[in-house]
Amino acid sequence: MIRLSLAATAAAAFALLAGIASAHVTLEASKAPADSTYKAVLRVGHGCDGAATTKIRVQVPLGVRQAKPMPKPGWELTTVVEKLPEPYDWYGTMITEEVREIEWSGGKLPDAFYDEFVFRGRLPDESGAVISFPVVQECETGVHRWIEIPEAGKSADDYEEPAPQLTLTPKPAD
Amino acid sequence: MSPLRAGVVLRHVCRSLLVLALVGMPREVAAHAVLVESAPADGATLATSPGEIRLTFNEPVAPIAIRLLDGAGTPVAGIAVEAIDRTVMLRLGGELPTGTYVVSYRVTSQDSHAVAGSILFAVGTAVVRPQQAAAAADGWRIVVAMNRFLWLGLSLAAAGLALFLMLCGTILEPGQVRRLERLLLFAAVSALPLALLAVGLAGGLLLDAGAAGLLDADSWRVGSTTTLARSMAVGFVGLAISALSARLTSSRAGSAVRGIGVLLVVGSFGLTGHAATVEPAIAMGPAVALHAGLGAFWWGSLLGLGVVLRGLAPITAAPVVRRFSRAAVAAVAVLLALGIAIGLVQLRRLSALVEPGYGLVLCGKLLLAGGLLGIASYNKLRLMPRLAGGDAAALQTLRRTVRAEQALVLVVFAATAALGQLPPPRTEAAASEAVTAETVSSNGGKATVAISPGRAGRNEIFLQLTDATGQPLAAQEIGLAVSLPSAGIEPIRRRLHEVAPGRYHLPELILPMSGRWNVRVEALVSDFDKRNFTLEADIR
Repeated sequence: MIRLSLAATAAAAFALLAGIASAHVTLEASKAPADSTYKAVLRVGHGCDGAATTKIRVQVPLGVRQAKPMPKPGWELTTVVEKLPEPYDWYGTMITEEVREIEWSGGKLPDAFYDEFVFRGRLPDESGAVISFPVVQECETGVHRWIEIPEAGKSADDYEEPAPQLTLTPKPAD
Repeated sequence: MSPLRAGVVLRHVCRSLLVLALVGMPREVAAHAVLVESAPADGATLATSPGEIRLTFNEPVAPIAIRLLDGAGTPVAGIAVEAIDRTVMLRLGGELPTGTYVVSYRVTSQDSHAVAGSILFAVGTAVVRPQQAAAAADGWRIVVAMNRFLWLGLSLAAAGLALFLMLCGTILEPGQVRRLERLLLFAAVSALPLALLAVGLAGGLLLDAGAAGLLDADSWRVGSTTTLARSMAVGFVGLAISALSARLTSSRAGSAVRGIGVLLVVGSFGLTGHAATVEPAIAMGPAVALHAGLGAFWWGSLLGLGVVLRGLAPITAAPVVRRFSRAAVAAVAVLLALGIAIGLVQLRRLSALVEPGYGLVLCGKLLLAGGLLGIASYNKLRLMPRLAGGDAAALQTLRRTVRAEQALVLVVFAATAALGQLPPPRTEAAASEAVTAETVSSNGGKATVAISPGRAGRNEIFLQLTDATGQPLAAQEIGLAVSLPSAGIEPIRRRLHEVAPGRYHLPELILPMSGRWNVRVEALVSDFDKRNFTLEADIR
């Protein structure tokens, strides 16, 4: 009985604390298994100091392969493709260039509303690594750059505008 | 408490927490608080003490720590802090004496995110507004330089013509004397409004006011507190005296009055500017004034000769030219020597002569002056004897060389006006006496900050950034956040502008008090790459 109540308390406290970071652009799932296909959901809860969001740009880090964004009605979707320093084999095809940057533009997300920007990609096979997805949020007036990558020994909480982070967990045994 | 009762209490607590969690889940309207407006505004200069200070945010906030600190760093007593809806009010107990103040705030917004910052304002003195756009300041600098150029041309013409008349008035025909006196009067009267305008322009430049800054009383008030205003006042009086005594070439007393006018105009140049106010000011001020006086003599004589030579035959022109020549060569030699000496003090090292900015402009000015000396020597050695022999062609050539010299002097004036708006290398050297701090970031980049003079009050910031390979790090934007945690001053944010690849500058930053300041440099290298450097500097 008491164990259940304690669990409920912990859940409640966690729910309360989860609200604190709502001002930042974050990933819905901050943990994912290595070498899996990951659906990245960027949660945009706020504009820039009250101004509506008009553009979201995310940089796909090297190592995240075959990135594909999800289109959004009312927004124009463009990608920037870059040549890879080292081509790799993808199920029989040689891949020489990758999507490096994804941009949703032309829309308007007022500060009072919430939206998600989705893309998926194949995560690298590096269990334990922490990947950062730098996001530039442009608004009607102003820009928020969620691009600070924590240095060794520091966490995202130490920064004012941290990049959304993803921690890779061990691959599940098949 | 019995185990059963404890279980009941615990269940109640958990239930209420669950409800609280559900109710307290992020609402769409819950936002990161931002300071929307403050009264007084950041960087404002107030004529009188405000009764209260208001900070307005974009959503209701709860104050954690709000402080009002004076110029010495002591918290002002008798402050009552009240948070009403979206506004935090500081009610002041009494009058604030003249000085600069810092309002340092730390509040928490609905999402429990702490938001902190500082704003500066001053009562009764000038506070420079945060330098947000260097472009606006550049516009002011160009206008100030143009005004200075016109001032140099006209005020030195008035003083110089008076000197020329003193030298050659007795051997000139009355008609020519009248013509020169009219020119003197015109120059003196035209320069008077420029002196007044300079005061307003100086204030506008200091405050970085908008395009209509001259219509703003603040610009004039701030301008009147500068050394330039003092210099313009003296110059104004000198020009007025020159104008009033324009017609008095013949009388002894008249010459004396005119002489006072000349002294005042020339002396005004020693009261302001980089060159005259550097240590030892007691020697540099008079040196610059003497330099200006010799320049005035040269310029006025060229103008005078231009007028006089128009109507004369070679033989009658010879005595005038001879009298002028004798004085001129000595004058320009001293002029050049003084110019080099003053320039060296500003440069601190000869290699700075070829550096872009102050160095190159000074180099150009020296070369032009050398050219003038060359033409003057040619006149004295070659043309003079032929003139005395009645050679009409020599007179023609002399007229042409005088016109060439006049043009060169105008270019020298333009260079001088430009020098007045450029920072001399001396101030960069002073930065080495200033507080420097260096840090290396985790990816190998290095940031070196020099805060000059490194004392509480007005400071200048120089920043140098290099990447891991030692190359200058170019960044799209450089943000600076300085804070003094020990005194509770939250970050003051400014933008720096680029002066050279990897080198950035902030002309003015007011650090209200001494202590161990925390300096954070945020370099936006590309859209997705921001490098932060954290340094500490001990400000005296």
